[in-house]
Amino acid sequence: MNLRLLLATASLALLSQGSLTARTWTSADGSKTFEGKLRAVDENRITVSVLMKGGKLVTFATSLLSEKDNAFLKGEEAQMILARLADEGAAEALQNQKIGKRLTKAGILSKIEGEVFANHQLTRAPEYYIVYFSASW
Amino acid sequence: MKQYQAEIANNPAVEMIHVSLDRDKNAAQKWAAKEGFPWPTVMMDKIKESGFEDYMPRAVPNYKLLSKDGKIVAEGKAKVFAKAAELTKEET
Repeated sequence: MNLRLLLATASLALLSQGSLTARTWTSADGSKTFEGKLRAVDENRITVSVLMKGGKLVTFATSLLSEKDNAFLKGEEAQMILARLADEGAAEALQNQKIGKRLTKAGILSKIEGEVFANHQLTRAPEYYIVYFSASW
Repeated sequence: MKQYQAEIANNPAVEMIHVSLDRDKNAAQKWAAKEGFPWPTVMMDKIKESGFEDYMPRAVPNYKLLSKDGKIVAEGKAKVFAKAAELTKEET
């Protein structure tokens, strides 16, 4: 099982457990809690964006959150949620491209894995494509 | 390959796609495995479906830089890599 398939499977497992739905966040001093879905964390985990129960996206410092929440943000579960969100964003962007739209069709792209070609899907939506035409002969 | 690793592999604004003109899939596969191609490939029988049929060169190897909307921005290895770097330098 390749890494992408493993992550997708894990993401589906998370979905079924409801981990992509709202979770309870707690303030650093433990005095306040709120419900919201993780949407983004910056590279250095200084800020986090949470989609609040009412639909408002709020970005704030991770230092305002409890140790438990900060541990969650560093953990695999948060990474898988963020990876899934990135995949969904890239997939949508690719659908809006003339080039990307065709490349996302099943079976169009393959990539060598060991000795054989395996189906491949783009995980990002680039602005440009270098197309390299060649043959083994 | 070195140029790809240095300039493209970690550049989110550019993706390199190999279009194989090998009619023999096994030959294409052996070559890709031997060289350890890190980029995705469109096999010969998928070229039409991929849309790259419209960009077929007269000879290989051939490099083209396409915008996401399908416009040819540059052609030829040196020009393609230089233009890709120029266009995406602020995005990397």
